[in-house]
Amino acid sequence: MAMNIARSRIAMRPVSLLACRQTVRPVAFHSGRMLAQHSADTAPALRPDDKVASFPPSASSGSVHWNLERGLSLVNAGLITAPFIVGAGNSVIDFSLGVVLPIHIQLGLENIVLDYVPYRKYGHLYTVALWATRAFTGLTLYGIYQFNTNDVGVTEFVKRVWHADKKE
Amino acid sequence: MSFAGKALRSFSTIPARGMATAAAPAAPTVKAPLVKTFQIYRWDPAQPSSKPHMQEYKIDINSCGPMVLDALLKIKNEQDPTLTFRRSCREGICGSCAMNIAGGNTLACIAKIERDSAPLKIYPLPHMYVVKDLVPDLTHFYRQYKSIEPYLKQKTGPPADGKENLQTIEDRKKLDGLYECILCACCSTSCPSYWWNSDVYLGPAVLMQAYRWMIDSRDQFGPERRAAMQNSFSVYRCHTIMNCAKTCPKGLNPGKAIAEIKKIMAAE
Repeated sequence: MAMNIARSRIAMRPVSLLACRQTVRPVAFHSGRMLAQHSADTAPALRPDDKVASFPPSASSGSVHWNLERGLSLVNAGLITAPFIVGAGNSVIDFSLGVVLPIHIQLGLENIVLDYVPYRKYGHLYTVALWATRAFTGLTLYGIYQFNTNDVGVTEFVKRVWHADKKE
Repeated sequence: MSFAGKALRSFSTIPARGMATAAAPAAPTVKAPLVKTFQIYRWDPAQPSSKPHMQEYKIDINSCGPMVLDALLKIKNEQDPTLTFRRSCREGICGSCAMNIAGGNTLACIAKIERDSAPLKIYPLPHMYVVKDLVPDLTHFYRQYKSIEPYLKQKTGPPADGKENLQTIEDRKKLDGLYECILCACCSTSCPSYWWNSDVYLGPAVLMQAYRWMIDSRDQFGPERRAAMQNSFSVYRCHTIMNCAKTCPKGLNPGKAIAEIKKIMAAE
């Protein structure tokens, strides 16, 4: 693995007290492909992972991503409140909910994968976990679309389940 | 030792305990002993084959200072000189004695001993490499702090008159609640996100200091400081769990500071 190679290179480097600058290259990732370079003046390291990772600036994985998450949360709040006002069975709300809600959940799931199965520790298990959630969300999107077009739609469904015991 | 020396020693000004109680006409009232058990994490790097374990010490907290650090010092002085921990100021300003006491990260010197006989568990700061007993390895934490360049950076250079960088009272007030941080690492080591991703996530303590320099009216590198955090890890591993604010022994709110960073970055 690239990470092991990078580490062993650091470990094998002869430690010189005179060397005041040392370039270390921790493998960082977002998509699993980026290689971050980090140059730091180092005292002789205690452990190979005792360096601070730095990343190439990428607003798409930083603030833009965060803004997207907040934006979707806001839209969701509106979409979940709206049926209580305009009534269930509105096809525009059904369709929007069927798109926005799964994507909102997907972003949350990706955060969980990033937290607990990071590439730098688990390698391709990260990629597998990430794409498993994406495939699942894709299926969900397709399923809800089918349900909205061929059946009663999500809001009407929730309404019927909610009043299920009163119908009889 | 000469005979005279021995004779002199027998006139020592420190009387033996039995004699003192017999001689004192009005003995000072002594509280009945209140024995409390301290269960303390022990691990010695000199014995790498033995696993970490909890060791019990029983001390009379009526003959001990009120704080957990007093109890630790009493144990070290009277029972077990091998017990190892960091301490310095004993008044909550140096941050040396940060440890996990009764399940929460705090400073031993300002954590009161509960006055009951229930056992008290003391661990080093969670999820850190342990140097020995209650001493965690803070090397990486300090490197992360260094990485945010915690000092004044200016593009224009120092003021032309060669004097200090002036600041309005309002601008100075923005630093309140931030500059008081003593970098004890209680907050960072209480953060689950920091536990799992401390190699890439900067953690609450360091991020709060990053924010402290971003909003300093005298600093001119705010955008650059934030640009260095434009990735999924440095800041955005914060999920507002807020253990940081709950545990901070100085009553600060690192979670809010991180939220402010996110807010500024959202608009940039």
